[in-house]
Amino acid sequence: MENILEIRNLRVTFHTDNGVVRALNGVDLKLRDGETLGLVGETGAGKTTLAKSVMRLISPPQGRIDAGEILFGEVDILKASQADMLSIRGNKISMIFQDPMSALNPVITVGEQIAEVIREHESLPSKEAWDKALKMLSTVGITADRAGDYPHQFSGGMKQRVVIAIALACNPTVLIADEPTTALDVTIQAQVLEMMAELKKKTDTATIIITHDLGIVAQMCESVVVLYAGEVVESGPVRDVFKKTAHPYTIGLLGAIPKIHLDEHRLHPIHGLMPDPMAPPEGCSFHERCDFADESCALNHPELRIIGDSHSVRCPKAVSR
Amino acid sequence: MTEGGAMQKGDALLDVRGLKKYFATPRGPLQAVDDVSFSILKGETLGVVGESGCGKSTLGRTILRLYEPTGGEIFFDGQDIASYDKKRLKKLRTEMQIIFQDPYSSLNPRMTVSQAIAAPLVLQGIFKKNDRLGIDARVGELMDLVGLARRFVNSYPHELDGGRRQRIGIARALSLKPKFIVCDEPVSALDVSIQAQILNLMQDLQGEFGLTYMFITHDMSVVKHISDDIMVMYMGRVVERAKPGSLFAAPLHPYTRALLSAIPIADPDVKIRKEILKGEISSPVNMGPECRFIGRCPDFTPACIDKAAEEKEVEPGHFVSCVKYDA
Repeated sequence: MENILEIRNLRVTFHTDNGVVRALNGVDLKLRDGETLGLVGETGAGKTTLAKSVMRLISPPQGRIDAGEILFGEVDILKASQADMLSIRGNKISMIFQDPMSALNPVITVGEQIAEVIREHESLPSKEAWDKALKMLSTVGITADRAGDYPHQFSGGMKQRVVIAIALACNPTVLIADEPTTALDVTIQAQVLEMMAELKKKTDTATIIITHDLGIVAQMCESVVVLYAGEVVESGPVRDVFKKTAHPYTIGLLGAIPKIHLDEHRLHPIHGLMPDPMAPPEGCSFHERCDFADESCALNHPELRIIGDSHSVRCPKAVSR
Repeated sequence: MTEGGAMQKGDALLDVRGLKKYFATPRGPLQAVDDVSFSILKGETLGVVGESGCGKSTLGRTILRLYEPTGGEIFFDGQDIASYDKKRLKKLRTEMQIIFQDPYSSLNPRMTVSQAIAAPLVLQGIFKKNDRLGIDARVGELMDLVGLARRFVNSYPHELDGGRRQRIGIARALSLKPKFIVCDEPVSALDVSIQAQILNLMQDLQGEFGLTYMFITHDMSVVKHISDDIMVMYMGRVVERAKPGSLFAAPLHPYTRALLSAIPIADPDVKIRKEILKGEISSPVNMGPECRFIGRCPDFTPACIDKAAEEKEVEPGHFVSCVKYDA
C-alpha cells in the first residue's frame, strides 16, 4: 500500500519566557492508504503537537517548525501556500478534537456547522450543502430533525458525533482523531468507537487515532507509533508492538495498566517522570527511568532501527523476539 | 431493606442504610442517590463504579456529610452520623477524609505544599498555629509517607506535576490519621505510569494504617484492581454488588454486562463481544418505582415498569437488583 502521509524528521519547538520547549525531536511517521494508525503517549509526549503540525496549526511566534517534511501526496504541507492549506485543511485532511464541548460553536445550529464546511470546500449551492449536512447527521446516527438544535441541546456523545460529521463532511483522505472519546463515558465511548469503525469500513479513510488508551489502539488500529518526550520510541504493526514489545517504555506502559482480563496484585509503575522538555537528558531520553539502562544509555542517543517486519525501536538493547 | 451482605455487622466500619440525597430542581426532585444500602468492613476497600451522573460522587459526599442526606442512616463505627450537629461533625472530620479527583483544582494555588498539608492540623487544633517546629516535623513525616521529596516543601501547586499534586492531596487526607477515606476518582486525571504509582501508594498506606477506603471511579480496570467489594451504580441506584472476581467473571445485571463489555482491552488477541447500549444515561428526576435502566436495557420486559427490583443475593456476597432474578 502507498503512503498517503509521510512525516520525516519533524522538529517543533515552542519559545516561551522560561525557555525553549522541545516538543518534537525528529519524528518520522508513515500512514498508508486506508490504514488506522494509533499514536500513543502520555501527557506532554508531543501527540497533539504532531497533529497540529500536520494541520499546520502551530502558531508562531511561540511555535516553530524547525525542520522536517510532511508529505501529503506530492505536497509538502510545511511548504504549502496559505491558499493550498485552505483547500487541504478540513477538506482533504480533517481533524476531530478531543473536547466536543469546546470544538463546536455554541451559537450556531449543528446542521449549519456541518453545512458551513461543505459550502466552504465544495462550492455547492446552499440548499444542497444543507441536504448533505442532514445526510452526514444521519450517517453519525443523529436524526435529521435535530439539525436545527444548538450544541447545548446535545449530550457529550451526541456532540462528538456532530464533530465527527463535520470532520467527515468533505470525504477527507486523512482523518486525525485527537483523543476522540476521552471525554466520554465508557458505554458512550463504545458507541462512538463502533460508529467510527463502521464509517471506516465504508469510506476507507486513512485515520490517525491519538490516544493514551492502549485498549483503544489494540481494538481499533492496525499499526501503532509510541511517542515519548517528542520522539518515536517504538512503531510497527499492533500485534508486533503489543506481543513482541521491544522498547522498555512500551513495556512499562503495558505493565502499568491494571488488566481487566488478568489477576495481578501489584501494578508495575514506571518510576520517575517524563523529562523536562526544556532540558532533555543527554543520551536516551528514557534512560533515567529505564530498568535496563547502563552507562552507554546516558551518553549515546539511540537511533530508531528496524527489528522486524516494519517494527522499529529506538533502543540498542531491544532484540527481536 | 437488605443488610450489608454476608458481612458481620460488628466488622463494618461503615454501614449505610436506605440513604437518599435528592436535589430540588424546577422539574421535581433529582434523585441523585436513592435508597442505597451497603457496608464496608474495617480495612477493606469498596469500589463504587458508574458513569457520569450515576450518583457515585454524591454518595461519597453525602456519607461525609458534605451534603445533607434527604433520608436514611449512616452508621460510622456504630454511631449514626446522619444526625450529627456541626460540633460533632468537626470532630468526626478527623476520622473521615476525602481525596479529590482533580489535584489541579482541589489545592489552593496560593498555598505552599507545607501550608496545604498543615492546614488540617492547625484547623483541628492538633498543632498551635505558631508551633512551627511541631508542624514542620509532622509535614515532613507526611511528605516522606506519600513519597514527596522534602525539597518541594515550599513549592506551589503549579510548580508540580499531577502525580505530585495528588500526593499532596493524600498527605492532607492522612494528616489527621483518619480511619476512613473517600477517594473520589483519585487517579483519573493522571497518566497511566503515574496512576500505577499512586494506586500502589494507596494500597501500601492502607496496609500500614489499616485504612478503610470508599474508592469512587469510572474506570473498571482500576476498580477491579483496588477493591475488595464493588458496587455498580446507575442513575442513583445500586444495580449490583459483588467481589471483583465474581462481578467480572459473571456479571448479572444487564447494565454491568454492557459496562464490562464496553472496555477496550489492551491486547489485540482478546476480542470481546460488545454489547453496545442504545441511548444515554439521563437524570433521575421525578422517577417512579420503575427500573432506571429500562430505556437502554436489552432485556427489558413489561414487568420492569411495574415495580422496583428488590436487591437479591443470587450467590453468597453477590447482589443484584433486576426483576430477571426475582424468584
